[in-house]
Amino acid sequence: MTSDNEIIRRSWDNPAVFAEMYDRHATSVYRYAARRAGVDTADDIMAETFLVAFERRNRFDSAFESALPWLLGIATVLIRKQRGSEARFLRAVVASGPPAMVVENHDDRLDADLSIRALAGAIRKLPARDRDALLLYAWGDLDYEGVALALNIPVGTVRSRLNRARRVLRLSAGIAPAKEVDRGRTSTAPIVR
Amino acid sequence: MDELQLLRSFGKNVADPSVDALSRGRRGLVEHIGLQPAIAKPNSKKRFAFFGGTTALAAGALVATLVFTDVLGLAGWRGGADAAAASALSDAAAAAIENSDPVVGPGQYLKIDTEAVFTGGVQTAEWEHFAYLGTQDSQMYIPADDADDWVLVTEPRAAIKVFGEGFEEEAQESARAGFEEEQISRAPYGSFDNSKPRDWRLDDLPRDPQQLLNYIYRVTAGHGVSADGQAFDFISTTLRTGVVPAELRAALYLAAAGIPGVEITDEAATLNGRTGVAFGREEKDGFLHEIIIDPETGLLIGERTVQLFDSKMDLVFAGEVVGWTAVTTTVVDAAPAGGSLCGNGGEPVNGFGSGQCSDPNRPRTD
Repeated sequence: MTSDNEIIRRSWDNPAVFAEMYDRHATSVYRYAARRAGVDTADDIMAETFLVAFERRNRFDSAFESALPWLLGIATVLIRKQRGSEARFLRAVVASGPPAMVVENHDDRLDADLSIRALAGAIRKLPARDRDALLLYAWGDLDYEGVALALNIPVGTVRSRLNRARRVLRLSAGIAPAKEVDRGRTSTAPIVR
Repeated sequence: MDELQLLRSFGKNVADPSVDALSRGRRGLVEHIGLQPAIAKPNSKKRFAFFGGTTALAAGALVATLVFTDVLGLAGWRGGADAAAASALSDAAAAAIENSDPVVGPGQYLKIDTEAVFTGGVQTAEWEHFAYLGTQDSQMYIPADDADDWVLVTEPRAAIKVFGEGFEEEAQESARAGFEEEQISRAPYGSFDNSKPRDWRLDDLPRDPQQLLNYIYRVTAGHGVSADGQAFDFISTTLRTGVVPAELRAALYLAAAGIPGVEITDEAATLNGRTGVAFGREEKDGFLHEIIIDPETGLLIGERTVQLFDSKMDLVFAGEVVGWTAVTTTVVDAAPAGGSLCGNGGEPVNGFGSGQCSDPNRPRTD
């Protein structure tokens, strides 16, 4: 499969091929936006992200094969611009719990429900830059490198922002600190040829 | 359950976008793309704000009309290129007009030979990054009659420089992937890859340099890193198509002379064996963008981009040329035979629409 960076490069001269970016990543962008700002806003964020991406395609760092971190970075800025909808969404979660949850056990579910409401409150109060890093990681399914690319910051900064945000979340949800374990997350980039 | 697992479980149940929302978004994007083949579409909101100040200076329908027809605009208000560059660009414009274009007779083709180098990047399985310069050469044959087959020859690619020790093999692999062999595509109206008919819309561009620059500022308003950078980029992108006739080329050179920040960056810049004068503009984002012109003939030799900072992720350092395009335009009697229709065997690229480029009656306009 032609890599994203190649398609973006080709789209400089033949703009029509850029539609392929949409076909590859629109769903991921939507899901990330829906998690952060609710489904009502997600349609618009999804559409707008690709318009912005198309306009900025010659700024795409072609050293990266997957365009997803870059696209989620754009979506993050758009969500930030619509801060109102994210804040409203989080307030609603705090007030009445998450719209849907996947937890097998009923007792766990109640616990989780309470914790989620506490988490949503904590997320709302996080500094924007810590919130962006945390949610790109947890809901955008990016790895540290991807978050770094999306936010255009060094990986070390991602690490410290995530540590800080997670500490705040743990405290607010009353979770005892777990031992730091490398979960061996795999890259989302479809690389390796 | 730790806080991350909890957070993930919270996000897990989000549904996929509706088919309706997906296709609406796609349609919007395709329309947006279609509105601007080589030319950036202005963002209407930003453009309004942009000219709000200007019109407020002397409100009235007359001024609005003058702005809209590009008689008035941003050009010239804030100075222009430095004096030496402006004078050399003016000489190049004069040379361009003196050396008239070759004429494409019936049955002949305009051949645009493009040698391009771009920076590619790879992240390896071991999380290492490296970058390389890869070739992207092609020749396009445009028939005298647009309705005849246009022919596009895409050369095999190769990595010609690798930034990072020990990645030579991977760089070659990455550069060649999908482009191991020469490919020939043909399509009436230049609708390669099932794209819309190729139309650079050069007729839309005013031939008066001042009006042309106003037009460029107007249509690029709100895009790019800076208004001046985007205007210069417009000029460079238009020139490198290789299809710009002499009088318009001259007007574009003179328009470039009206852009603040443009200067002579290299008196003897060599690109692909041809030497000319480089006119460049340093952009805030850390790249120097240049167009290189043969001062004798006024012909564009090409364009190139120089990186002015050290990359964080790979070994590309300040001063490195990270991309260039050399363009040569000639008239030839024949184009290569064979090749696939539409560049894609006639199949739609993304599974949407159907073999549009095989329809000879497809209108040229959007």
